[in-house]
This record gives sequence, C-alpha cells and structure tokens, in this order.
Amino acid sequence: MPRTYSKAENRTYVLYTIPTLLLYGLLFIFPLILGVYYSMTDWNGISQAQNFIGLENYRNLFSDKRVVNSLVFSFKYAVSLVLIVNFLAIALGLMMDSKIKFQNTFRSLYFFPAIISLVVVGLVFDQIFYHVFPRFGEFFDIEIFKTNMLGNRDTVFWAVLFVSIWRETAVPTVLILAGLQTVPVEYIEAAVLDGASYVTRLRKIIFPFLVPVLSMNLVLTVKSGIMVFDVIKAMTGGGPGMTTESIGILIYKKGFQEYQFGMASSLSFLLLAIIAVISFVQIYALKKKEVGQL
Amino acid sequence: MRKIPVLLCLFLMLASGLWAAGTAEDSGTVTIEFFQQKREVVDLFDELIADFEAKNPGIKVEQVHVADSGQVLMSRLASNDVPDLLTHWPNNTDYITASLEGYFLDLTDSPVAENAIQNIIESITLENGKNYCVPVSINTQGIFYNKALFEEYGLEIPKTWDEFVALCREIKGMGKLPLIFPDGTAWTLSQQLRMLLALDLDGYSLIRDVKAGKADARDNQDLRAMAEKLLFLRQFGQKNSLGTSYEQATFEFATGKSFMFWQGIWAIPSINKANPDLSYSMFPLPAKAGRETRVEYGVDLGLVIGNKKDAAKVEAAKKFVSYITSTEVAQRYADVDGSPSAIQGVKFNSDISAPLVDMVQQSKSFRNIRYLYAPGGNGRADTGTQQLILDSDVDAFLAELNYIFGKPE
Repeated sequence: MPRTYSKAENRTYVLYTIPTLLLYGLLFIFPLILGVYYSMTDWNGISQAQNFIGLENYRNLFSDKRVVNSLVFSFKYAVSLVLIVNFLAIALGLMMDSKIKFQNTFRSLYFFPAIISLVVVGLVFDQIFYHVFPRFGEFFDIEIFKTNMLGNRDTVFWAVLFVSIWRETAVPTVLILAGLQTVPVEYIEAAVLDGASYVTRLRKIIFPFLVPVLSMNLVLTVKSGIMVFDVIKAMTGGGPGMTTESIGILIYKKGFQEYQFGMASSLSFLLLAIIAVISFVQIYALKKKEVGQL
Repeated sequence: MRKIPVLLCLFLMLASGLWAAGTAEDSGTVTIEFFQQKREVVDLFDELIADFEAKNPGIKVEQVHVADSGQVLMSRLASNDVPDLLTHWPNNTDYITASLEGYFLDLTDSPVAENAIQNIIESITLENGKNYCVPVSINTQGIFYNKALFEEYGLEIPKTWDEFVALCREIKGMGKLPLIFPDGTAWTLSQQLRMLLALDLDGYSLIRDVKAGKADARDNQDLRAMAEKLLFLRQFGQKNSLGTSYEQATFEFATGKSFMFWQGIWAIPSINKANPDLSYSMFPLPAKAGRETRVEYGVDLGLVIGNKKDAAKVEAAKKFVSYITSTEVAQRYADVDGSPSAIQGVKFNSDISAPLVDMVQQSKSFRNIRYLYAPGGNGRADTGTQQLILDSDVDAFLAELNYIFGKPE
C-alpha cells in the first residue's frame, strides 16, 4: 500500500519539482521545440530572417544521396560495433573473472583506452595509421596495411571501426565483470559437483544472471554506434570524400559548414526518430527476457 | 525559520557572483577575445600580443585558436556570440555571408584601415560597396621545389604545362617522388580547384553564368578537362595521396621526400619549422597551352572587428588592429610569415616566394575565385573535390560544382 501524503506535504513536494521542471523546460523542451521549428525553415544558421517552408526539408532528405549514404554508413557501423564490442566484452570479462596471474594489471590495461581524451586518440591513431601500419604491411607483405588505411575507401571503415572498438570495449567489459560478481558462487559450486561442463554453466547459470548487464551494454553500444561523431571527427572528419560521413557528421557539416541549418535540423529529427524506434524495440524485447529468466 | 539563513546565503552568493562579473570590466582593464584562425602564426601572435599589452596597460588580448575554426565561428554566430576581434579570409563566402548579415563592424573608409594598401582594400570590397576587413598580408599559391634536389639532378624550372609534365615524368623515371599531395586534408584540394578554375579557364564568367541559370557545369568541356587534370596529376604523387594530411605532406616535403609540393605560401613557416636548413623556392604552376600563366592572390590575414554594443571593447579591438597594421609591426609579421604585406611601406624580404610575389606585383595575377561561390560553397568544395580524387567520378563532381557555384534549382 503506497503511503498517502497530506495536502500540505504534497504542495511542498510539488514546489520542490518546480526548479528542475523549469530548467528541464528551458534547457531541453524549449530547444527541442525550437529545433522542430528550424527544421521547417530554410534558415542558413546566421541570417536574422528565415522563411517557413513546411516539410520541404524532410522531403529533400531522402532524395539527397549524401543522406542515404550517411544512413547506410551509420547502420553498417552500428551493427558491426554492437556485435564485435559485445562479443569482446563478454570474452574479456569472462577471462578476467577467472583466476589468472596479473588479474588486476589486465583489468587496468583493458580499461586504459576509455580514459584517454578523444582528441589524443585521434591524433595518436592518425600517426599510427600513417607511420606504423604501412611499415608493418611492407614488412609482412600484407596489401591492405601497405598504405594509410584512413585514406583508402575500402579500408577506412574498418580503420575507424577498429579505433572505436579499441576505445569502446572498456566500459562494457567492466560492466560484464561487475555483472559476473552477482552470480551466486553456490550455484556454480553445485553445478560443478553435479558434473556440469563450463559451457553448460555459462548457458544455464552465468548468462541468465548477466541478462540485465547485457541489455544495458546493448543499449549503450547501439546508441554510440548510431550516433557516432567524435571518433570520426577526430580521425577523418567524414572523409575521404564522404566515405565516413555518419549521420552525426553530416548534421554537423550541413549545419556548420554548408549553411543549411534547417536541413541539418530536419536530419537530426530523423536521427531522433530512428533512435526512438530502436530504443522502444530494444526495451520492449529485453524486458520480456528479463522477466522470464530472473 | 531555518529557511531564511539558507536563502540569505544563496542570495549573497548570487549577488557576489554578479558583482564580480560586473566589476571585472570597471577596474580599468578591457579584455578582448581575439579569435585567430590562422594556425601558422599562433606563436607569432603570442609575441605580438605580449608586446601590445606592455604598451597598452589597460587592454588584455586573449588569443583563441581552435581546430575547425570555421565551424566553431559559424556556431557562435548562430547563437549571436561574435568574437570581439577575429581573423578571416575576405574571399571566403563564409566571411561575405556573415558580413552581409551585420555581424562585423563596417570599416569602410575607417581610419583603422588607413595603413592598408588601397588597391587591396578595393579588391575585397563587397558588392554593396562596403568593407569589413583590414588586410594585413596577402597570399598566393604555386609549386614549392627543393632547390638542392633540383641542382643535384640538373633539373630546370618549367615554363609551360608540357614542360611541367615532362619534368614530373623525368623525376618519376628516376624512381623519385615528383609531388606530394596532402589530399587527406580536404581544404588543400579545394585550393587546387579554385586555382585551376581561374588559371585554365575563365571561371569568373562561368560561375556567374551558372548562378544566373545560363550555364550548366556538367556541359562545360573546360571544367571537365580541369577535373581530369586534377586526377591526371595524382600519378606523380605518392601512393594513396588521400592518406596524407597537410601537416604530414609539409613535413615530407621539408625533409626532402618529394621534389615539389603544390601549396600556398602560408606553408612557409611550417616548412621552416620542420627543416630550418631546407633550401627551397617556388615557381608558378604553368597554365594549360594557350592560356597565360598567372598566379592567384588573396588576403591571407585579414582583421575583422565584431559588431558589438560594448564601445570599450570595440575601441580596444581598433587599437590592436592599428598596432598590428603599423608599418613596424607589419614588417615583423611579414618577415616571420614570409607573406607579402598588405600594409604600406613594408619591405618584402622573403626569397622563397619572391618569384610569385613579383608576378602579383606585376599584375600577372587573378583574385582568389572562391568569393563567387554560393554561401556554404567552400565546405562543399572541400568535400566534393576530395570525393573526386577518391572515386574519379568526373560527372558527379561536375554536378556538385553546380551546387558550389549556386545554380538555381
């Protein structure tokens, strides 16, 4: 039975929410509405006046091959990132959870990439791809490493993805490690006594306990995959040409470089819609699993 | 009753914060933000600012230099946050768009600009007859060449396009690298585009015609030949040129990896920094057969004052502009930067760019064509030209040029 509040208490609580509500409205709701408005104008970003053009920008989105290109890139990128990062995080988490030598050293090592500033990551990998990989490729005679992977349309996707994976695996791994601590030791011991193999233990005991963490990891990686901006900005700027233009990069370029602020706003609402649909499906699907298994 | 002391504390904190913000300006020191977009002279400006502040105790100048300054500036203008003072390129459509929208202080016939060479001011005056920029130096672009390597192999400076191609072939035949292209940095590509647009064809009339709906870039054979030339030249560059950035290419040329480097004279401070002992000079890129070889010129460092209500800041910014454009300081700037000055009475002391600067002074030159692009055309030109190098799709590139030139839909 939930506690009931007196009127006076209620009023106090409502009053307490007002500052937050005001701030939320000012910093979130108001810009959102403004964004909707801009997406229906031909505003170039700096002019004092703009014309209302209705849904023109939205109509133009799908006939623009750069937009289609960026959608394809972002999806391809997100799917690869989600699959690889989550697989690696589980593998690394399980490995680091077992009793191996230098366990703590490994844990810090694998977390290291997450704490380096992105600008540094971009600059360092820029040099690695320019100086280190080509030498490696020449030495071992591996064709794809022979030139700068960032400047080659066939390899740039994998180069950027590689850096993202390097950077983004850390946090999910830590979460998996934390999740593994919630698996009751008694269950494992009992299973061992009953002669269950490692794979059976993984499937029947460990994974069911990991479901909440896995779903969290999935949400995190899908989000960072679809909305990817920073790694690409730091490494290729969307180039060469438009090969690595993700939706985020294209919004930025159209808004702040090509004076199509209205168009950029409409593109960001398209991104919002995509994220909303994916999140809805994700939350709905994973909620079912959790209830059934825990 | 316990609420009152808490509220009082909050009020005092708020009030003291506001008071502190209010008095920072009243104490006699005016701080102006100098949004400086030219990366090659950040260190030089730090020195000049220190000198200026010593001479003007009431003024502090804070130099701000960021990566992607163009986009940062655009986003600041979008939220009406114009810097007190900035550098800009008056041939850039971004500058023209912002000037026409009233973000910059009108400097037409202003005494602040009186030291600048009048012809140069005229060349950047907008079509509405107004000028918002004080030019400090001008730039041009051409081919850097490694003098020591040219002497060692007995190579001659080419006078015609055919000689230039023959030279490239000769160097390549020796197993050496004729040119290094910084194609990984997109803006270096739109520079080559704009240079050829004026050198190999009458780009000025063409862009105006496209803008007026009287021409289509896709049908123009000269444009097609120009795009093919950009691609043709890549065979004389390093393998996978898109993997080399401006900084890397500058370093490679400075350390003798390539014989030549197509770049603007703004690269001189960086080349000198990478290798102070390099013996190098420049020659103009020869035009195609049948056209006169000329060089591009444009304002390289232009000072622009934000159009602000705060009179003290505007005055301080004007003072700083007057200081930079004084003959003595402009001379110091020119000597370090290696660029010809836009200020009267400044001597040109750089041997490296002298062959090109002579041509500018003899009027064998054309104005940087990009002032004619559509708003936002600069950014599209960067990406579009890089895409051309990437996929060699000339047709798609010509369609993109329609957009860059502002063809009505």
